[in-house]
Amino acid sequence: MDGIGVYLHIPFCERKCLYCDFNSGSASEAVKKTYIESLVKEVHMYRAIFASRKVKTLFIGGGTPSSVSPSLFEPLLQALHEVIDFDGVEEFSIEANPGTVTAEKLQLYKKYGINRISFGVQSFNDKLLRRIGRLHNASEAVQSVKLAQRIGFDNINLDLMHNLPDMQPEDLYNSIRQAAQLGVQHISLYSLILEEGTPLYEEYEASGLSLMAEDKERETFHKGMAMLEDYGYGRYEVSNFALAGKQCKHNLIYWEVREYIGLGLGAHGMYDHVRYSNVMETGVYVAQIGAGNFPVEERQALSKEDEAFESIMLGLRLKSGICLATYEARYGLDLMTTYGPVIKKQIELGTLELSEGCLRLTDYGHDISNAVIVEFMA
Amino acid sequence: MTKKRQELIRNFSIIAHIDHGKSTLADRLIEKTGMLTQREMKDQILDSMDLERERGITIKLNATQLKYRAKDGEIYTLNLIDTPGHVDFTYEVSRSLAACEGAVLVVDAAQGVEAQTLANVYLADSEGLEIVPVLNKIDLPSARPDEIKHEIEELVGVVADDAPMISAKDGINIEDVLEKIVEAVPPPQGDDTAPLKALIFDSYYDSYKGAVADVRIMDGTVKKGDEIKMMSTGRVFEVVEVGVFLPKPTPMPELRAGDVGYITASIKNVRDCQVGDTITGSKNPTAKALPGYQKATPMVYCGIYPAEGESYDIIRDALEKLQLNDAALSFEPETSVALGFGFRCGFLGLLHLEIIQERMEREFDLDIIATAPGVIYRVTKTDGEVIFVQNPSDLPPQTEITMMEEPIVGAKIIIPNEYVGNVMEICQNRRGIMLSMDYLDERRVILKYDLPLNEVIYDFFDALKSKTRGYGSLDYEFKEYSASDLVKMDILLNKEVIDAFSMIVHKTKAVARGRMICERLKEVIPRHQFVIPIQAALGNTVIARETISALRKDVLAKCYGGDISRKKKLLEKQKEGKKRMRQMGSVEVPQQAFLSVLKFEE
Repeated sequence: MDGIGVYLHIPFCERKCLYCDFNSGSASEAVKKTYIESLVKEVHMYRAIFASRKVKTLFIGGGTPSSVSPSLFEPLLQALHEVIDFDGVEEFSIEANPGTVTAEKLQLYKKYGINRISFGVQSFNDKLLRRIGRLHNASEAVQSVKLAQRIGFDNINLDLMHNLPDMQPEDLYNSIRQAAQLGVQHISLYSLILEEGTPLYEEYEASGLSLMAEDKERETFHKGMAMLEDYGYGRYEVSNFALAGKQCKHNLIYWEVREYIGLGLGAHGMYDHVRYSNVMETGVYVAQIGAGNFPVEERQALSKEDEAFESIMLGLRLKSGICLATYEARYGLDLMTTYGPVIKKQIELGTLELSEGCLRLTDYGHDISNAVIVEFMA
Repeated sequence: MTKKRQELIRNFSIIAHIDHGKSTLADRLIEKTGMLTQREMKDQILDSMDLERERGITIKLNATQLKYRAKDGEIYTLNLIDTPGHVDFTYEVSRSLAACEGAVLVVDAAQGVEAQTLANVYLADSEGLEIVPVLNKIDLPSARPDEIKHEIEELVGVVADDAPMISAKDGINIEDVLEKIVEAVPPPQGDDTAPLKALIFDSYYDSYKGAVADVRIMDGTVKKGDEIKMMSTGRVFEVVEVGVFLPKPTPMPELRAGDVGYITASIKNVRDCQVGDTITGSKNPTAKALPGYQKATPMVYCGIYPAEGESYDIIRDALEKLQLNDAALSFEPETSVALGFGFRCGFLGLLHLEIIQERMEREFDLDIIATAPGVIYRVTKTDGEVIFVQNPSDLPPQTEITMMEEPIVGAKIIIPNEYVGNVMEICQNRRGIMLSMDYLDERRVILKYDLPLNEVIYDFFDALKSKTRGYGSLDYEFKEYSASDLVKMDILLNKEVIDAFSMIVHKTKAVARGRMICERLKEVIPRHQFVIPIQAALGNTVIARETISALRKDVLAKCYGGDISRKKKLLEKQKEGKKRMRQMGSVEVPQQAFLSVLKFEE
């Protein structure tokens, strides 16, 4: 059996960014402490699964996990080591924001087996960072990355954002250049999505934002991608680029519809053909765990067909695409029988290509992947 | 001396232009005769449909009975039968007039007689009704009662000297109107003892009682338990209830000659209760049915199709129910390549069309798609055959056509003289031919034009309204078919002809209209994965073109902490939106596109 993934959610930030609609926010030390204690208990609740299944990857995401102080954080890492056999763990990531990492924290992470750090850099332009409500500046980002490298981290990701308000193409190119020059192994390049309810969205609604025109935005993105390729970062997913062998193994579990356990507030998991998600309210979460219950709010059993569709929806995000043989082996279904006409039409439209037994999106197909995937929906 | 029963009955209608105060006067009459308490008196009782109240016009007929103690000491039963005021509804007016002996003509003392009013007055006159003129809004500073009285005498040909001068709004001199009705309108002269002869002047469907017939009893009597026969279908029913409108339907022991009321008889099928039909007794039938009315001829046609998720059967059911009290509505099944199964519907005019559409949406809660409206063309083919075509897709190929003719209407337009220039321009732009221009008084002018009906239905009302600040009024009637340089214009999406967008237009109008439609469609059709040319074409000649560029970006970014369901929900939402569109060849077209082609705002 494949090793599973484990996701742990730390919902705390020093301050919410203007574009963020994620389950996160600032909190007092007391709340953080209570939360981490509950999370430790939840880790223990999954003891039976961890005893029977090998864990391949762990990912501590947020919020800003690096904003939690070492003394609060260490018990969580200890708990993970108590219940999980780390011999099989290939990758253990943590999300960090520049300016929140210290040598002490980084050493703690290293001590407990964390071997990959993902920095939310977003941009190396201070003006743009302020524009989207980030707390750090470019030089702090550089210092944080260098600090992590000095301490011995050799698998570092930087998140970069494209299509920010007031952004010029050169801003993106410069950010890519600086990231590459720092010698990181992985770069995620996301386009800003204006989510309802965020301050940036409000601003967009009220007075509009100065965003690139669509054609220019795509041109800039494509040029940015070409730069990344030149620096050796191959695109292996819609938004993810890595040096050879440095793809994020944890994220691949998601895209390949493999199993993972979600722990913490609002965390999602997928185990034994059931997708589930935890409660969203800290109070409810703490209370449920206190009562000895799994803090799960929603469970959705996936039929074979559901899972087969998800494997298309997610698999098409990958550069490697969906391999017909793998698909048939997993679901007992022939992709071409089920979707022959859709696939044929999309190949004609230049959004899909079929080669070496695998179906994948073309570059254009990646740009409009939603429209393509929707064609596969019943 | 006591008068005979029928001598104490007066059956009348009110004729007025929109806004001249018909509904308000009706309310005052009801109030004055004490039918309702002040508290029950919701403004404008007779306009019962929401739609009517919103638009301030009466569409559907209604009736109410008033009891009035006249100055002669007698208590009279006055039956008020409401009439719609708009030009499209002449047919309905004739229905209500046939049930009356008199008509109250309400004229705004400031604005004078309007074109549509005139049409209805002539109709009433030809039915032999007594016309009772009333001047409303006499309290307005701009009122000019003497001039208007003169105008009424000139135009209508009735004496207006002693016309009641009222303000319906403020309840001034309302009693004068009631007295005048008693004095001038002749009482009915039916025969109680003759076989039953009742005219259905309106009908509606009640979920408990079945089809309800609103009737005027011409001869005979009818009561519960009687067996009645519908003369057009021969179907026989047993009467369950008879009654009168107070104004709510109220059961009575019987209805007799001269009465206005309703009959229910567990009539399940609305087709068995047709407006204009005559009801008689099944055992002792009358020899001859009443003439009914002049059958309304639909002048404007459009296709009505179920929108996504609506069923064809429910649409048919709704059209049948609407037809029950709107005999002018016609429909027959048709199939469109683009829209599937639907109906070709005929209407009296554009307002009638809009009202039916709105009623289907509001009263029946239906989602429908309506195609661009058109008229009926007369086509002479090369083999000599003459056919009538209302659906552009039925038009034979150009090579098989010798001649095309279009319906021309005779239009009367009454306007204040300062707008003559504007209105002449409107008519000229719409291929109108001026016949005459006459001054009604110092300020008002009546223009007579011959206009192609397809120009009138296109946007004439809107143009007239905006260019005369709402003061222009229009009446038209079919005149003749006339040879015309007409062409079929096709709209192509991604090189495929979309039949639902095809239309027949005058050659000189094709380019402008084609260009506008292409522009509209470009606005409402979302970008696809490929470039979509939108073209307007006459045969093989493209006369207008727009291009929708291909979709450039439609992608979800990161998947937060493995939250797959959120991603899936977003895609499902996108899929739902897609489902609401119509697949037209290779292009997905939102419903809005059909409306934007239908509505022509300049």
